[in-house]
Amino acid sequence: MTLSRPFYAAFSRSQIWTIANKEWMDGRRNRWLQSITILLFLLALGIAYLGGAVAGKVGFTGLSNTIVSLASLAVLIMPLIALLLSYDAIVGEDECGTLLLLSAYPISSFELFLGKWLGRSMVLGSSICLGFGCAALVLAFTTDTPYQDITVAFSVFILSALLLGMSFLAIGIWISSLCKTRAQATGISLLVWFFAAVLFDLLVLSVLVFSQGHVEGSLLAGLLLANPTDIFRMVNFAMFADMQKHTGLMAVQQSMDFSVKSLLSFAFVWVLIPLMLAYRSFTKRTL
Amino acid sequence: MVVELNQIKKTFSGGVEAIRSLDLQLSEGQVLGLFGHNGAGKTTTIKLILGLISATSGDIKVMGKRPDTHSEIKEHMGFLPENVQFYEQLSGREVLHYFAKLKRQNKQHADDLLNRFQLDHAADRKVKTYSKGMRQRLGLAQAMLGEPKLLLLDEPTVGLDPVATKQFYQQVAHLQSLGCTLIICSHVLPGIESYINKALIMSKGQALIQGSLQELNQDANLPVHIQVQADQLPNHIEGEISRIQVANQWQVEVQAQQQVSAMQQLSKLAGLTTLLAKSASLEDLYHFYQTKGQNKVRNTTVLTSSEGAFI
Repeated sequence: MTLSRPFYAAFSRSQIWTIANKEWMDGRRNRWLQSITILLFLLALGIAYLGGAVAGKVGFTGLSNTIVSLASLAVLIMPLIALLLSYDAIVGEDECGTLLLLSAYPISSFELFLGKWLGRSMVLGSSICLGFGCAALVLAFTTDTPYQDITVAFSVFILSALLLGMSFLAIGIWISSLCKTRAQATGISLLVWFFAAVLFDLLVLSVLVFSQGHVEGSLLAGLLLANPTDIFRMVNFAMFADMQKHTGLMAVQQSMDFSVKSLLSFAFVWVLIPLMLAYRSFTKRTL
Repeated sequence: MVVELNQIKKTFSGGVEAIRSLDLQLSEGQVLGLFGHNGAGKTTTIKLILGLISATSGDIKVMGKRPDTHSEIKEHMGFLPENVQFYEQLSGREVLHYFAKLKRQNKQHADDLLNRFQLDHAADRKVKTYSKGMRQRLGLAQAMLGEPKLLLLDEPTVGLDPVATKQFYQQVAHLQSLGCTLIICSHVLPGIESYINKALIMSKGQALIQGSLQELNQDANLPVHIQVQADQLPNHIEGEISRIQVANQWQVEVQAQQQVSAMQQLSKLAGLTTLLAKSASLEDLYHFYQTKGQNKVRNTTVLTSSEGAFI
């Protein structure tokens, strides 16, 4: 696979769209698109109407409650879905022998890589927008929350969920580019998910507890920004700063003043860097 | 020259010497049979010609250009990898349309190829439901997209039934008549003889021999087997090496040079009902060179190649 002047190759006789379209078709054919959309839709509605049950309330308990609860669930599910969608992107094609075949075609490795990423991003992105978007519509029609509040809250929530999903999609493609077998990629993806979504916060919290809170604010901020799942949580909790029910690390975050805008930019960086690393590993992959 | 390899050497990063030294020249319309055990360097040779990997030393020219730096020549090459599994959840037509698009060919061309490989009736079924032979035909249709000038086929007849194998070789002959150059990698030998006009037998990263089958036959000088059915066999047959008798049937092994005089001698026998001479097959030649190659690593014998078909 040669990589000479990738951008020129991409824009002059681009096959990116052909490959992205094939990935999109795969996503529909495997029912990934449909099932993720339905899953996210039901998740959002379920939390909106049944989320209060824990506190003994029945029915819709307000927008801020919904978004905060939804965010704490999505932070676990989003990365898992994204990794599931992407872990076999490269290694799966390699195991089938079609990666070798495609590299004998007059397409650059840049076109192939970007097409694969774009196609799978389209599947994930459409599911997120459709699933959560439809849930927002239902809420707008069935509750008396002002449309404007719902629009703002869900726009930010969907945008942050998109960025979270995309960064784990890029991480998944990176894993896929590095691994030699699909089984290996599955294992590593699960480990990465467990570390990023579960273990990381526990580790940071225990550092805080053991140091009895004597951790420098900038270090803590750096730690939180080092994990895209924490950025996602901070974005959605920052929108409802008046909330009382912040627990765990997010209670600490309240004392930090990150704006939603700067958090979203950090989330965007978390999409770009893994994507560039993934591309580098992809071009170094031996056939 | 469509393919030119000069003193190619390929060592992989782990220190594995996949190709120790290889020279090869193929002109337009030639069909090369590339034979060898697993790990002989066949697939590495194909990857080098496709430009997927670069040679450690030596020159490769495909259609006059270096394949690893001039990816535009890929538009004129077709490739069928060994053990390729096409996208199972797509239909045969969708798979071929996708590859056609990547080669900048239209859908009509892809549909024509589906017809040519008798896949039209199954074109809209998912590849998942295809038999091994159908998958292989789909792979061949894929390789022939865009009427390539150079076609590289890695084990193309694996999984094909005899009828499909014959049809495949007819396609090869047809492509050759159009001026397409082919490289066929195989260890399935029967049936291929009459369709190749050059053979390259590899072992441990180098050529044991290359040339036309006629040249290989002359070089190897393998005995000719004559099957005779007659009342009685003379005590001595010209050029005789051995004989085996079963009732009134004999298998006589004679020197290749003496086969004509031996046949003349035998044709005069009383009660002759069968007289059949069988010269060494490609399989015999393959085993001969492989055994010879194992005994000592000899220098590559390159015979002057002659154009056109033989046999």
